[in-house]
Amino acid sequence: MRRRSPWLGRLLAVLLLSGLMSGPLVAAQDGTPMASPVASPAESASPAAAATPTASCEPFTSETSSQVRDEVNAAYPLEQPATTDSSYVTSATGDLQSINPFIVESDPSITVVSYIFDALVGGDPRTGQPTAGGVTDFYEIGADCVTYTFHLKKDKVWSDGSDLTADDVAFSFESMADESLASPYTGTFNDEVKDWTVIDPDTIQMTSNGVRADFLTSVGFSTSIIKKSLWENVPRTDWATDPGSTGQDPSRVVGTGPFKFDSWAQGQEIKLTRNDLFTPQPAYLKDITIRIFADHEAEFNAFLTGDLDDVGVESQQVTTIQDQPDQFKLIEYPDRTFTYYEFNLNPDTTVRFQDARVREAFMFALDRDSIVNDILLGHGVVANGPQPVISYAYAPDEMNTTYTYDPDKAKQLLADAGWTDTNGDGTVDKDGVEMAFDFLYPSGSAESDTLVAYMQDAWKAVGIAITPKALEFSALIEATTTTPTFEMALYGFSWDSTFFQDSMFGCEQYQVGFNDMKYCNPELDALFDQISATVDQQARIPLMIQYSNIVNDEQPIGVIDFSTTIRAENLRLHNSFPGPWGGPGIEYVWVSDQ
Amino acid sequence: MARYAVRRILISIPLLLGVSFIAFALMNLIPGSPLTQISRNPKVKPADVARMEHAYGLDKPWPQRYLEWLERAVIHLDFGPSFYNRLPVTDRIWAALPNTLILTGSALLFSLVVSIPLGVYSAVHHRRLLDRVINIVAVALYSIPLFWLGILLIILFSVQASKWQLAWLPALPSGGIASARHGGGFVDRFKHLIMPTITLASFQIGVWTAYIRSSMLEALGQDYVRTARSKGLREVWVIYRHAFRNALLTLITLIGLAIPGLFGGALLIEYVFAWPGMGSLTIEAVSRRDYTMVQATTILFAVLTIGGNLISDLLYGLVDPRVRTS
Repeated sequence: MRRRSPWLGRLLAVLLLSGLMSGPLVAAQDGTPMASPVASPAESASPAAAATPTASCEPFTSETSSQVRDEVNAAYPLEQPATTDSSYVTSATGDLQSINPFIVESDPSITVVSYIFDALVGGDPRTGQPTAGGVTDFYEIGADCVTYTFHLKKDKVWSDGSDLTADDVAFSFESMADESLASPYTGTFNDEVKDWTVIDPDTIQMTSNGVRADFLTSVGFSTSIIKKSLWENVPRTDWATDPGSTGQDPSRVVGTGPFKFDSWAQGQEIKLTRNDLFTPQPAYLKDITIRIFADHEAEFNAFLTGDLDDVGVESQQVTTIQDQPDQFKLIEYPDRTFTYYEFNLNPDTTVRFQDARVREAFMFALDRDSIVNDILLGHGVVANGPQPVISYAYAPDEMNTTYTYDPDKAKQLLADAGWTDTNGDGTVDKDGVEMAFDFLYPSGSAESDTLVAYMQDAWKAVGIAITPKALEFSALIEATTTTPTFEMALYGFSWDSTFFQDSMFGCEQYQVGFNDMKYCNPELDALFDQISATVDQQARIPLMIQYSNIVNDEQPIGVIDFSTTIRAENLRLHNSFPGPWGGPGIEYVWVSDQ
Repeated sequence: MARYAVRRILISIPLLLGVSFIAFALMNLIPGSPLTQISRNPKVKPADVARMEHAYGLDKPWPQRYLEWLERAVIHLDFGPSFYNRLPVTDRIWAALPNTLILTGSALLFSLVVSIPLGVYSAVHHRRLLDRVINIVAVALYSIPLFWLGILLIILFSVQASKWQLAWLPALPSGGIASARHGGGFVDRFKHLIMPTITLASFQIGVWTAYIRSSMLEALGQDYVRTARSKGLREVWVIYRHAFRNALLTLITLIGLAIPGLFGGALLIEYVFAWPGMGSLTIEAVSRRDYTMVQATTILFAVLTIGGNLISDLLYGLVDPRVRTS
């Protein structure tokens, strides 16, 4: 989802581009709607895309949760704890939304509830993909590719000591599907799930609405399991304000996760204590405190003074951490976030960006190596295609077009599209329309200010005049979504672990998803349907590369860079292993030398 | 005096109504809503957002929602649930308000304790070296942006001090009201209060020192002071019993006027020092478009401001009998 602060920490700027277009240039005709602007998949196909995979519906049985755990533990050098009585103090910017996993929608709430409640399945920290875990010991996918059978862990108990059963899981599904519960995920759940059946107390079967490659990710990750007997008598319209959701009654917050809810001092901190009944073994930590900060600087200072065990780090703060190697260590890894600018392709609003050559010119005019090196201080990767570095479909060498810095090519592309400086004012124009407009971006980040200033200079050099306008984040969303009269805007974004990109490029996603651009390519939509129905990941990859090539050539958005996450840890923190998909688990973390 | 107080309280009612209307209108007219950011989650369908809008009453026109809010607030004293976490906003406010009162109260006290002696000393030692130094410091204090001073103090007394680990420069906590790892005791909480208090008080110290100096200089030149001295009274008695008593009138007025400024300053200072008070709460609520929370905090700030001015007026009357008579 679109993120606020992470991307503020990594934007930068410059210009341009270049790289000869190796694939066919698939431009819409100037001034026409983007009804069918793209080359067919065959025309733009990369070698990998030449083979047309079909949906795989081989019956599948997952590994067991213990097998997965053993593999994961072997992949990380876990230390045995010197103590099982330690406290971990971490932080969050912003308060909790709720303790109820059906209501929370963003961090830190999601993280906190994930410590208390297990989800239906687990995630592999090495790949981010769904695995046996959570309340599931193992699962099977039927030959029809729509029947999912979940075999629950037989030793799973609630933190109050009672057994978890398939009835609890079924009740959780029923709750998620109930529209009277103001859950942000009901629509997705009902789209994905056709029905479910309790087979026996330890087994439940679900049927998906058609073949869906993202079923386990969309449903398995986001469906936490709650205790039926605690909630069945509470009207779902009242769940949001129930003391079990607000934390006012800790005895009503019962989960199967490694920690139990202790207290929530609003705006100050959340405390969790170890669930001694968690299987296969209780957590090493005695308790966790999550301190709430309104501002990252205060959070970072609290870390430096030793009050926190870990913290997120912005690029300009890296040297502060590196200067104190006897106290702190720095961890950096690529993440799912990227910085991009988007064009308004609605011809009723603006005619400037209808021609794909114009959009490509913007990218060729940016020296993105300089952006990454000079503004992000090296903490990022120049994007080549829309798939991020950690995606299973990341294939920079298979992109038809590489946008390396080439301002001359940018000028040429603009000229080819009919945009030249006819009145000598330094800005290209066409049919009396100047390539001069407001460029919107989120306020509040010095780094983004620098980036936009750099982009302004770089684009000016090829005859494009932008006027930067910083808007508060909600105002920016309004300006690009509700009343999309913008010309161009800068954003940060983060894909989910499916790396499906239909939410941004699908025709139906205009003013619904992230397609602020009003970009529409029916062939791309058809390709996405094929991707979505291909359960086998390996078979899906060529399709996704094909998809990326179309987007990369069409440039409805310009992806500038993929960011890295930088974290600092106090040396007293052990077994954390932060990464793009988390680490082996919070239950293995411990803290020395309190 | 009682009738005067009642009259002032009655006058404040339409004022509060006006404040509540303007605040409600402004929040609802600026771009965004409490669900704007949720609506940008790709896993959240438009139908989910529509259901949430209906559940939260956001599908009604804002004037209608204002009237409903007003009815609930005035008749039932219920400010409604937060749009962010559905908790009653009054619960959140009751949790945050004491922290703000502690911070503003300690800043007020610290300002008085520092500025009164400085102002009096400066006036009594008019045009001497220390008087000039105090003047320069006072001007500097009310010229320095509070957030900048706060950040400077954090860098020096918190970040660098903990890095240097010097015996003569103990590190102070950079934020919060207590340490999560070792905290909770009185000493720990007091340490957390030091830097925000100094920062918030700095502006008032600068202003009040200058005002007290000026008032004292004027008072010291009056006939009654000369008379007191001619009667052979001790200088300390002359200064504090006669001159300062009259200079106090100015100070009391200033304290009343300063209360809104202190609460306003607390908005920034709480943010800089991660102080979980009304300021942090308000800033967070505005950025989330948490209408009910913003509405409640705005009303509370208005009440505190009006109340502060009222108390100032009443104190003025106590000190100066002429006010009571009029």
